[in-house]
Amino acid sequence: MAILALEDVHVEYETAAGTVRAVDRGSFFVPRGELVGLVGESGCGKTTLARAVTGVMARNARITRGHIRFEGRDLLAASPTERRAVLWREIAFIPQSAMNALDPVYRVSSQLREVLVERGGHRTSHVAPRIDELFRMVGLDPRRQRDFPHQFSGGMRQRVGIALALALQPKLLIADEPVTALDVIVQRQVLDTLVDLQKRFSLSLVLVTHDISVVAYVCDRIVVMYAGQVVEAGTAADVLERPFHPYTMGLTNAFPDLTRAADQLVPIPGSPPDLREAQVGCRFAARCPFAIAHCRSHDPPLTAVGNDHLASCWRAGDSQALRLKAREAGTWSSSSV
Amino acid sequence: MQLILPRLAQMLFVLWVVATLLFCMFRLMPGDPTVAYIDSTFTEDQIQQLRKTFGLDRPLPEQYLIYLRNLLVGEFGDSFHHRRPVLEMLGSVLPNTIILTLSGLLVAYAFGTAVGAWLAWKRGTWVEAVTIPTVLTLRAAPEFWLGMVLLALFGFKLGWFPSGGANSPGALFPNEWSRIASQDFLWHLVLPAATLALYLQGLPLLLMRSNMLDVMGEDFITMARMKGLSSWSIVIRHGARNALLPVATAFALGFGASIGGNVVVETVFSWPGLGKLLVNSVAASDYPVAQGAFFIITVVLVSMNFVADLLYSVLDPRVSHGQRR
Amino acid sequence: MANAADLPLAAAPLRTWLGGMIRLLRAPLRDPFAAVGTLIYAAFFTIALFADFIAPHDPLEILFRLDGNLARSEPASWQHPLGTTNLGRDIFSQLVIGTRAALVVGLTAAVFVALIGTVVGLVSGYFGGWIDSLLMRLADVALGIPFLPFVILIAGVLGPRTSNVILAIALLLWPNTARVIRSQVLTVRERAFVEAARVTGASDARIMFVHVAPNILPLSFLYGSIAVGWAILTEASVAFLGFGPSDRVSWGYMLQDAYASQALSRGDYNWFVPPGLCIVLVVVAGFFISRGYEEILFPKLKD
Repeated sequence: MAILALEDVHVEYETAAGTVRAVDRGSFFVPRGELVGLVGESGCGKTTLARAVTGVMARNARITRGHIRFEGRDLLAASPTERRAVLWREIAFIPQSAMNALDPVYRVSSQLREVLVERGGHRTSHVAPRIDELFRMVGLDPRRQRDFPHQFSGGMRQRVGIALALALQPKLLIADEPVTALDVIVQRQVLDTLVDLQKRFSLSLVLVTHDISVVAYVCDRIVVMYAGQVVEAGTAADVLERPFHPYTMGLTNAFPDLTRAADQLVPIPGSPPDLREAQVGCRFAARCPFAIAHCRSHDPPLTAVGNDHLASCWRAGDSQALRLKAREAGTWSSSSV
Repeated sequence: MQLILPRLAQMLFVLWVVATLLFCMFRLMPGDPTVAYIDSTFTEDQIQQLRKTFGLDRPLPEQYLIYLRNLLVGEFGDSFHHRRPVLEMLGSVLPNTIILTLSGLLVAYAFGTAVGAWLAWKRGTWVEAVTIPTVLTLRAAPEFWLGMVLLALFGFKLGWFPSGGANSPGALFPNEWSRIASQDFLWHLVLPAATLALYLQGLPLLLMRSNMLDVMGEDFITMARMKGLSSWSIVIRHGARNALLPVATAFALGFGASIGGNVVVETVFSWPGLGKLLVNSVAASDYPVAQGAFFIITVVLVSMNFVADLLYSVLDPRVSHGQRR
Repeated sequence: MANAADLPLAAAPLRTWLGGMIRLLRAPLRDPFAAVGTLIYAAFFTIALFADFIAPHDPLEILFRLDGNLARSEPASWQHPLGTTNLGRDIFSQLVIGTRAALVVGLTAAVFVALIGTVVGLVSGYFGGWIDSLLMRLADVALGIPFLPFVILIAGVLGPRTSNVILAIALLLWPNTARVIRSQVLTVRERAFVEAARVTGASDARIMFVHVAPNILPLSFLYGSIAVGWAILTEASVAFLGFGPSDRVSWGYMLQDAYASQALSRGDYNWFVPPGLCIVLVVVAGFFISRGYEEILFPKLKD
């Protein structure tokens, strides 16, 4: 059984300009012990969906539909007390920027101790070894635990963020762009540490990112989101090598495959739709080089296109041919944007 | 430590400039330059003594140096009207002023901080819409007028508190300490301190509210919620602790500013403090006392500005603990 | 006060003073606080302007009752809407005339504070270097001098004239304005249109006053409007302490008179409450106006 299963989750934001449906049809699952990449461009709703799992969202956000099942229990139907019990002890969060996520006036050891004592039931006098252990686990020198957050470099702060998340030995980790804010070399190092820990402790990990190369590098499964909807989901191999949704095809074009000849990088022209307006038809139709009339008027549902592979495209049947066409740069430059 | 030295230097610089200004102001007044320290009621002996202490027969530059040296040891001369060394007079009123200021400030800040934090919690509700204009109105009221109203109501009409002074007339105490610690003193302290508190609470209130609103929007507060920490931990341990930083600095600054600003409250309640001494001495042209009182008030103000600067460096780890990679 | 560096002001540089002025005047229309404040000011302005016609009696005239006795401490009546002082003077008239003193002192002092602060901030921020250091050191000194005691000292030594009070206020209140203006100038200085002006050979003075100044005008106004309140409060305090002009009726004078005449113990609320309330009104109006401008200059995101 999957440790986490999201079924048709809808999330709305109340803004001065009206209600914005940030996530519509948020569905995916995380098998126990696997690394699932949640990928899409900025504003596609991936962070919103990921944070919906923790239940800690912006003040004006509402989950209006759907189920979030963690180990079978629907978190959305649970009471606030039940939800709080699960937080951090079973579901932990690694933020994008640990600099802002750490309280600047408390030492890092204090912040670790706080979590261990208040939520983990440890005794204050007994936490020191655990703090040391956590530091070592993430590759930090335990002697630096009494430093303040601003005294650490970016990469080290992210490691602290990981240590914090792992403090209570949760089963599920949600990492929101954990390495995006770092420079490339450090990115790789921190990512490696994270993945290593994931494997070591058989954790389930949801990795939210806009970077397809990161996803290709480490994920077992990939979930692609566009304009608030999950448009494709499946194993990493399936999604990368046999994408069914044109958006995914475009995404995989955007990073070079070292095994093939060096083709030109092909970006997808255009930008996502404004979700403040009501959406008609397939949301990708405006940027899609393969869109037909039917696409613009009817929103394709998420259907099975293979064994353990879902996609939402009316032209899934032609996917093989479309895939070949998608590899050509010309296909994307003459789109109907 | 390199933070302290430039600020200390700045503080001393300001004090020096003020001292010089005072020197010039009184020496350059029309008439005899000795008028700052000697008036016609002094005896010949006293005049000679003062002449010597302040080098009043010496050339101006030398007088200036003597003046500075005297300042450092607290030699302000003798009061024209009371025939006592100015320093002694200052010493007798200083505790009254300090206690008044401190009590008023402490109450104001305790109240203001708590209500400010609470208001941040109540953001967007009618509570906010009503309280904020009220606070602004209180800040717009003249301190002394608030005192007058309180005095009229609680002092005269209801008779709950005395109408002035720091101790009942005729009350005797074995020493300064027991005088201050007496119930009599406390009873006299209530109204003036309440006036101060009423007037001063607006600043910490609005400041704390503003800070809390800023801090509660920060990422580390969101993280605290994600960690499932209790409301107490989130709002107080993380939120308030961060929001308090500027309030602590404001407290130090407020103390410095109040010492001078208390003048009016002390006058309304006939509170025998530094401010009242200054007012009386200026009105009576008792220049040595006026100079002394003014200078002491300046010293407190400048010192507290310095302390405020220091406080921030000490309380914010981002400043007190430098970068270390 | 918010950090001047994050002013969203000059997305489009205000190259003309006209643009700046228009910006300034439009502000009250957009914010309820500023609107209320402006209304209150307008009301007091009108009263001050027509004070001589509105006040039924001369404020210092000692009045007598019909039976020939002194109209001492009369309660409120048609002839004396607020009653009389213990010496037989009409309180309402004093209140009305006092409006003038308050506004004159308040506005004059505020204008000076804003002027000095702006000029110092402009020069300091634009030229930098030793000029900047010198001016900022001067600011430090001004900030280190206790405000009210200084005003008292000046009034006591130089004489209890209104001009001395205004002088003292102007001497000590400019630094905050100067510092904020200076910050803003530092940002504006680096902007393209300033560079362009320099390249075309414009003199420093021209750049400062024609190009840079309009961008900081709203800030000057903001700090000026705050200064009005402080000036009025200070004037009242000084008058209350007995260092104000004794021939000019102001609200502070009224309060001093009331206090000295034991109005408190007699419970003559009609005497000492109204002047205080007037002060509160005018100062609060100043706060509201400055709050309105602050909303314009530093808009807070409403979530």
